[in-house]
Amino acid sequence: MSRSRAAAVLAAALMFGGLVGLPDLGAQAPGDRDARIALFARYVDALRAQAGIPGLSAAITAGGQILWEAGFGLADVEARVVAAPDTPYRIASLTKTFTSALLMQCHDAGTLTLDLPIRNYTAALGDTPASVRHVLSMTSESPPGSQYRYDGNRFGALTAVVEGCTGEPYRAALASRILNRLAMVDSVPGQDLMAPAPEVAALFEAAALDRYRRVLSRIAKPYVLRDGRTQLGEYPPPGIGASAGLISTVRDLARYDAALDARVLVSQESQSLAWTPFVLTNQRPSPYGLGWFSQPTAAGRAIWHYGLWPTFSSLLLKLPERGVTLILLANSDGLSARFPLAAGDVTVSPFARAFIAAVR
Amino acid sequence: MTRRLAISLLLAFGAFIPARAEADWFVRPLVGVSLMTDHGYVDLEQTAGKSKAFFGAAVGWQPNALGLEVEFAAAPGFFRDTGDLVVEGALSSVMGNVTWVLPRPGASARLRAYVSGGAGVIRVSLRDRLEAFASRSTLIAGNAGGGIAVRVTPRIHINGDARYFKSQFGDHDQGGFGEEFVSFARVSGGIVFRF
Repeated sequence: MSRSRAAAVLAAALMFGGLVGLPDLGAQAPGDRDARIALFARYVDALRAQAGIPGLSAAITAGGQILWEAGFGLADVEARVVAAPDTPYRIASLTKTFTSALLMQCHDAGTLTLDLPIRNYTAALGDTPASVRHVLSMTSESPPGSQYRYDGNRFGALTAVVEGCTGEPYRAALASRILNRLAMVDSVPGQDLMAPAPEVAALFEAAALDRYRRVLSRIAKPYVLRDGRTQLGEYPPPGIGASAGLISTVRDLARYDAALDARVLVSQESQSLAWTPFVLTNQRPSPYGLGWFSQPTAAGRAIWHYGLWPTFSSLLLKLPERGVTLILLANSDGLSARFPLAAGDVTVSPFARAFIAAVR
Repeated sequence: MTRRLAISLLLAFGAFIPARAEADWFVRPLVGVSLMTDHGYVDLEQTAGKSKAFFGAAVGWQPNALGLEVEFAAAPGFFRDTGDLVVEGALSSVMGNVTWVLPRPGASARLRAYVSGGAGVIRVSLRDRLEAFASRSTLIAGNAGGGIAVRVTPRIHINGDARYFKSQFGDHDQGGFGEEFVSFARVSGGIVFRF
C-alpha cells in the first residue's frame, strides 16, 4: 500500500469512527403512576399538535376525584380564547352513554323491558323485529342480534324509548335525571337552547335557561382542518337526541364519570350489563355493550366511547382495573376522524394508546 | 426467460468493466443534514419539517463515467428533538446507487459533477418514554440527486451532494396517524478517498 493510499484509509476510518460514537441522550421512563400521568400530559399536547386540533380540554379522574385537568390550544382561534377544563364543547356521540344511563334507569325502575320491540316506541326503524336491546347494542340490523354495526342514526331511534319510559321529552329527562342531579352546571341539553322555540323553553325554568345561555356563549368554536390549515367550520345541528347533541365540559364529565363509578345513576347490575359486550347470535362477543364499547387492553378492560362530528370530537376512556378515566374534548374532528374507532378497538387512537401505556 | 435475463444482466455488468483499472474504487465518508422532512409516524417532538444531522459513508466503484456505489447513512435523532418524550428516534438507510460522472474519471478536470440514483431500504427505530409508539420498520425506498467533487490530490477529492429520499407507504401505523412513510432531502459533504 502506498503512503498516500494508507493515509486515505486512515483518514476515512477516523472520520467515520468518530461519528459513530454519538451519545444516547434518552432517559428511562419513570416508574410510578403519577409521574407517568404527568408525562402523559405532555404527550397530549404533542398529539394535539400532530392531529391539528385547535383546542383540546382534558381530564383524568381517579377515585371520584380529578387527578389532572388541563386545556391545550385555543377554544376560539380568532378571539385567542384558550381552551380550559371548563370550556364547553359539543360532545357528539358521548351523548349515547347518557342515553344508556337513562334507559338503564328505566330498566332499574321497571318502566322498560329491554327485549320489547323498538317498534312499540317508534316507527323510525320500520317494521323491524329488533328489540330495544338490539338498537342499544348496535345489533339491530337483520337479522337482529347477528352482527354489530355502528350506526348513530339507528341509535337515534332510542330518543322515543327514553321519552316513553320516562314520560318526559328526551332533553328534559336528561336534565332532571342526570345533569341537575349531578350539578353538571356547565352542561346544556341542546345548543338550540341559546334561542329555544317556545315549546322547548317551556320545559325549563327561566333560571336554567339563563344558565344554559351563559354556558353556550362560552362554547368552543367549531373548526375543520383543510390542507393543513385551520378554518372556522359549522356547528352540528343544534337539537339533541339519543345519539348526539349534549354540550359539556371535561369537569362536568368527570362528575358524570364519578357518579357512574359510585352507582349513583344506575344500579350495579344494570351498569355491569351496559358495560358487558353484547353476545351475538353466533356466541361471539360484540365490541359494544349497551351504549358503551368494552374491550380488553394492556391496562385491563377498557370501557369507552368516542364522539365524532366534522367540527368536534371526544373520547371518554375508563380503565376500571386501574381505577382511572381519561376525558378528552376537542373543537375539531382530530380526536376521532383518522382512527377507525367504530370498529371497536380504542387502541387505534394514539391518545388512548398513550394513556393505556401511561397507566398499565 | 431466465436465460434472457441472465444475458441482459451480464451485458449491463459488462458496461462497467474498465479497460484499465486505476483508482477505480472509492470510500466517501459524509456528514449532512436533512431538509423538507415528512413522515407518517407519531411525531411526539414535532420533528417533521426540521433539519436533522446525518452521517454515513459510501463505498463505490467508478471505472469510467458510469459507476456503482453502496451508501449507508444514519440520522440518530431524526425523530427526536428535545429528547423529553422520544428515547430513540433513529433513521438509517442503505442504498445501492448508479452514478454518472462528467467529465469521466481519468480526464484532467479539477471539478467534476455527477448525478446519482438508486434504491434500497430505510430503517426506522422509534421508542418513546411511555413505550406507547415503539416501532421498528423497514421500508423500501429510492433516492435521486447529484453533486460535485473537487480534486485536492489524485486520491483525495472533496464532495458536495444533494439528494431526495422517499420510502414506500408501509403498514398503517398501529395507534398512529396513518401509513408509515418517510421522505426528506439531504444535503451532505464529504471527502472522497480513491484507491
